[in-house]
Amino acid sequence: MLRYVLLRLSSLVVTLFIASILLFLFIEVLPGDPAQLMLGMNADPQSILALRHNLGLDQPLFWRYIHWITQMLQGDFGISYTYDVSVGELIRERLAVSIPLALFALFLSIGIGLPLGVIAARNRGRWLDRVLMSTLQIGMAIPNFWLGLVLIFVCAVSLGLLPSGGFTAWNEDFFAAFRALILPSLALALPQSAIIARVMRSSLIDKLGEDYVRTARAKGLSKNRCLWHHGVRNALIPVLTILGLQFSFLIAGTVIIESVFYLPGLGRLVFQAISQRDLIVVKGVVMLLVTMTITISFIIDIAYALVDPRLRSA
Amino acid sequence: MGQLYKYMLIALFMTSYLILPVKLAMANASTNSLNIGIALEPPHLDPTASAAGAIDSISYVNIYEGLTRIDEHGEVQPLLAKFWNVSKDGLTYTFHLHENVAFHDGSAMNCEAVKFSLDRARASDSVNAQKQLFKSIESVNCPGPYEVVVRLNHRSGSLLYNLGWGDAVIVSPKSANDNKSNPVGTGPFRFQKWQKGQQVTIIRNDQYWGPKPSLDKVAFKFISNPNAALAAILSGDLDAFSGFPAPEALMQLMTNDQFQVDIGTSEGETILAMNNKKGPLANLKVRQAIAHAIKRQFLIEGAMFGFGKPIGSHFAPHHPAYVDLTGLYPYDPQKAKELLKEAGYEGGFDLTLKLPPPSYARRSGELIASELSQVGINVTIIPVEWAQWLSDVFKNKDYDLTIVSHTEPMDIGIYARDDYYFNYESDAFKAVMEQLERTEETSARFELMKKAQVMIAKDCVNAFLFQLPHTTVRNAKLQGLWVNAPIQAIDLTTVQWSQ
Repeated sequence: MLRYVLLRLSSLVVTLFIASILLFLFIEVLPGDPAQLMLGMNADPQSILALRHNLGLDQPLFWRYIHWITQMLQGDFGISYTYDVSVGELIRERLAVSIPLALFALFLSIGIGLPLGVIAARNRGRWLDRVLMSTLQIGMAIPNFWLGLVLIFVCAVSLGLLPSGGFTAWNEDFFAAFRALILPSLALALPQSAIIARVMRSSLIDKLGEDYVRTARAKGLSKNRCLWHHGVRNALIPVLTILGLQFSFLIAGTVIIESVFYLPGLGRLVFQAISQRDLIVVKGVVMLLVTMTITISFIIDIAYALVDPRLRSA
Repeated sequence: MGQLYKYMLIALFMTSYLILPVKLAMANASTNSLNIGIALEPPHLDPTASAAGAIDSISYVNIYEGLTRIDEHGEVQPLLAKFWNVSKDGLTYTFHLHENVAFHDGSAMNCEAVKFSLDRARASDSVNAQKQLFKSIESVNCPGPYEVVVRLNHRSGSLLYNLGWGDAVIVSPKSANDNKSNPVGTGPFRFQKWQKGQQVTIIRNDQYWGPKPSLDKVAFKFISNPNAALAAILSGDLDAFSGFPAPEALMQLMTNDQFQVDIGTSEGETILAMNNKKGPLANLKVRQAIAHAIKRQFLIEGAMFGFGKPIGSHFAPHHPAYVDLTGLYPYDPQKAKELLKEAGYEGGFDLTLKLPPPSYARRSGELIASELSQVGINVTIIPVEWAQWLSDVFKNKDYDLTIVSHTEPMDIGIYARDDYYFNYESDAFKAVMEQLERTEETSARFELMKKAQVMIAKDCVNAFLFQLPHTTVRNAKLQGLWVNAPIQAIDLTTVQWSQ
């Protein structure tokens, strides 16, 4: 087992290293000079040179990579070109919005999707199942930004129940911060919950057809007890796989949703940084996301190995 | 199942409990505060180190002040300088400063600070985005604490105007290096807080040396999504929006008594810029043909939802020296075809049109491409990002046609620059600009400005399309915001709530 973990760990390090080089090169070949962009159309060429020097952009590519990677290894993401504050600080502020948003959306999509899937499976073939399934079909097709707008106009503009967007810091007003995330997480969660409900339904119907369920029924177990004790628990496994995949969808979805609700999250930061050519911020955020994704797949690998001993020798 | 429903019900109750307090909180809000939306977040808050207009929107005359200022009508007014004398040869300006003015950091605003600010902007390692504003300054000296002597190397009729730009504000020597994140000026508002990605808050400066503003707290919120901007206005989360990004919704807002929509003009001359040295575009007749092929009203209706003023030269219609030249090349496709024939391009030719991201450019671009195809010019549209536009089009001049709005105030002088991206070279025009720079008397300056407008229109350097509108949507009870935007600023000094 230890050998397996070490092997996976070294492949994780190599992948991260290659990713960092690719990322650095991709961002360097983007057309557009950050200094020119910051100083605009009227800038004196001398001022642009001075700014390029201040930003360290006049150094050779290789040295800039070495400098960046050694800084990153020490946990220092560098200083943002445009904001002139530490990138690590910027990312930390934004994560305080994006992570709760993604988590709320995840919980909501499970909280809505799973029960609907179970209800549909239990009433399979009846009118309730048909109504639910066709509603879910629509739910899956709705783009989350559009749903966000509908929610804003109904809940914020017409009813005045919730703010139309924006965010108050957690430490300033906890409830205001929570309320600010209700609509955006709903907009993110509803289309996702439709997917979860469908997967849950088909997985549960599958499991209910298994021999052990039939045996349990024959033993005299009630239909409901059978559903909960033998069906749902086993049907959850494929749903968990889907949930893992959905996390990256949620991160991508927050870029759009954060702009619709003008939330100061990570998605908007990276979007703004790309258009302002704040390359150091782009590199920092993307590297963080890459590290997160690779680490999650590392953890899943290890978890599978724990569950299934056959994998350990691989 | 029963268990689950119970949990759902509890969740519902909890949510409604969280929701309820909102309306009460809104009723308690202070009536002297203001929430105002702007589309773009500034990169930082130092107007002397970036061209980003959003910095000036927030800080100009609210946080920072200059020796002079530019008012709502685009005219120069004294600000930190009470008055000034100009020597007979026009080479020495003596500014007399207001006394007892303090920066927000507590230090005194005096000649030393002025000299520091101007020298910093002119220095060889300066990163001021408008360094050319200070080109005529030879030296700055302090004969007394409240007396500043500025020596020029040549007469400069635009000096007082230039000193009114946001890039020429007076900063405190003590805190100048921190202005990006903690701006310190002498203005009627002081910086309070910047929640990145969300809002900048400024509060009234109770030690202000001049008349105190009515508002005690202003939050600038950054919303670039048009739908989000509309929702924020409709729901009352914002009291006003300067540079409203959803022109398609303006009609709806205009019919609502709660809101007031002000459509003014900005300093943004939107032009179809042409590479005057490239291929067929080097021929005046071809450029004139392109101008004749474009119907400005069609662009304003089609790309701008009807908002925007047609222009015939590179000059803002709200300026007193404006000449209406829109009739010089009227829409006439037949004439355009004849001109192309005379130029030897009867069979038509191909051009590329590079379009930066703003919707005015992308939308007008589509329409212009179709208009030009009617006269036989085949246009290929290439959408580009800003950073790419600046390096390809603006710096390397690798383009045929592009659409862009030139938002710097009073920028007709760019047509006299060597190696500018239009590739326009006219000694006669340069001479007029030279003369303008050396003229101080207002009416003589206006005559020269008029002459300059006519010259570039006749040379048909670019096809001049329309002046970008400056749209402000506000709560009908809010008064005192500028209608026009002769410089990019949201002057809050006289803004107030009516009863």
